[in-house]
Amino acid sequence: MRTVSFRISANVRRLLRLSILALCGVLAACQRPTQLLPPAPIFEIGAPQPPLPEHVQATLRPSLRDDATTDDFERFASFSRIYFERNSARLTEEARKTLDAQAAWLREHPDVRASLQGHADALGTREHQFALGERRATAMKFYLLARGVDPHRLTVTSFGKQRPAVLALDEASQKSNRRGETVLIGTPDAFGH
Amino acid sequence: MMRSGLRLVLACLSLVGVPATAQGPLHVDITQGEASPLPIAIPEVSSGPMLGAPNAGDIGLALSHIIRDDLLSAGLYRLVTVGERFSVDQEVVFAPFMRAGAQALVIGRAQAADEGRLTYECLLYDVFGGRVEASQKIVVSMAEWRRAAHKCADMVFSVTTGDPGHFDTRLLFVAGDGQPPARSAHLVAADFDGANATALTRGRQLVAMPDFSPDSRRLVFMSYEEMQPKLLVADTRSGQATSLNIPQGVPSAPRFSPDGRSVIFSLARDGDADIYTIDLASGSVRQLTNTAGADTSPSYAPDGMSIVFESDRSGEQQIYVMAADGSRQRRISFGTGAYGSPSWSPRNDMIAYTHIESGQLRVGVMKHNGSGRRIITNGPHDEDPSWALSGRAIAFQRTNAGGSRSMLWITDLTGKAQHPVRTQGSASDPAWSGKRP
Repeated sequence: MRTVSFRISANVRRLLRLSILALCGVLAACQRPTQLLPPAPIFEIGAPQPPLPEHVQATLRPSLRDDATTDDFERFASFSRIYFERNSARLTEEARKTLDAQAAWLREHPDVRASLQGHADALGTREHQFALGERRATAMKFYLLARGVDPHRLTVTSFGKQRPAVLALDEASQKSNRRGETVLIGTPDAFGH
Repeated sequence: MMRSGLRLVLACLSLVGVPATAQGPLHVDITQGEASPLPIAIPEVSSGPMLGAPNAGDIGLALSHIIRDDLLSAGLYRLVTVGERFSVDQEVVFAPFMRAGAQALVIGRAQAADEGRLTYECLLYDVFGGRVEASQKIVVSMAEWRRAAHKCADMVFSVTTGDPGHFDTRLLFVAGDGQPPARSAHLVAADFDGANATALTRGRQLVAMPDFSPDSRRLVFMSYEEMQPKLLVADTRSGQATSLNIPQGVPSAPRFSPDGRSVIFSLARDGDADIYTIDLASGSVRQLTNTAGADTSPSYAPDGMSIVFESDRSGEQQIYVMAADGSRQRRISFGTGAYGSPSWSPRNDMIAYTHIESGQLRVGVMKHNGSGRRIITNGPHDEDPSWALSGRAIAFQRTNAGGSRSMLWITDLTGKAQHPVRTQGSASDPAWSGKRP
């Protein structure tokens, strides 16, 4: 029967205490108290940004024409979104038609810039879907460029799978996440560029 | 007085006599990730009411429970309960634990110390040898009382496995609120068990793919400004966040190098994504890959000499390894389906990855030469593996079958010990810290 006993005679104890002190002196790191942590700071990373592009800028300013609104753009281009096949950045026939209309509108409003935003479905790795989104937005940019839109008015960005249009994992929902959005961002100096 | 003197002896002796290898009698046998669990008793040791303690009830009992949760989550221990509750100054008799079959016994004694601090004496006994195998006197601020248990569990883990424990660590993740399309997201850091969650960013801008620096003092993450992603490095002490000055394009997947001096990332331009590094001191940028296709998700080997990454240059996402200068690129993943999100284990031996087949995502591990692939999770949608510093556990993101909510989970390398991390709201993009400062 073993027990851990802490009862030792006083003399032995004194001796022990001395040897402990010596030992601990040698082992400076014998009992290292934990450093106290300050509370974590909150990072201020710039002013709040519009999270979702559509409809947040109903009216663009300044503009040469007062019909240069997102609503007007959407009416004219029939839709600001195009859709892609799975893991593909190829522009479908339907996507080309939408982009043709967008290009015509953008040629009519030469002071308006556009952010081309590629999105991807949940069925790839997070990292890959960022690259895929950029590939999709780039395909849109080259198409609009070929349709006479000045490339300096177009910026390419990707949200990967971080901003799904629909959260569900079924195929129908994922189809609507494989998309490219054209978001009007006003004149070149609207954001201080 | 008497006891404290003797305990001090034990503490010192254990530091002299027990190196951090698992050669002692309390060795957990781990072969190919399969372990024969070590029978361990972690009795409750009441501390009684404690001055200055947060309203968590009996801190001693709570700490015993946290140690149990920590160690059992590793899948390497089997809890032996004897059904006894000890008071903080009670002697421990081995016999009942021996009869119950416990080989190891963990006793933690909590006591209030001055200046709002808590001392926790953590002892690991070899029950059959009848001796103290290791001991540690842990001092934490009362506000961080839970860390005392995590540190105690770390000591037990390290003595019994030979690997550093991963319990006194933080998890970094992206917390999402609300439903699409107006979803906001912010960065959160929490203890590895989900406790003490703190928001690190605020505002409505999108943040994604955070990573800790090796010393856990800095973060790197993607943050959107004017709808364009930037890479930010933030210092957790000063609260300073700096945007990395990188070439034009869409950056993503930033990770620190093992020495913390540079950040490796993927940069997409004109439909092609390649891997780059940026030196944080000089700002110099170096391109490591230039093959057509999406080269992304870079992760350094612990020695910094090699990099694992994913690429779809073959037409499908596969995993590749290259030297740190970008030379000697070779594919290491073969087999059905696609492979991505590779992450090199801190033990150097394994690479964790996300496997995609028939629209399903699973987390797997393989040796760093690509052999011995095995899938270790079986949720509806599992991805984004991130290693614990022990190399014995992996945090990952699991999305429910409906796709509406994602959570963080932790698994051992066999996939048998898995548990969710308690977080508020949905959580994604996990990154596990190294040793906490």
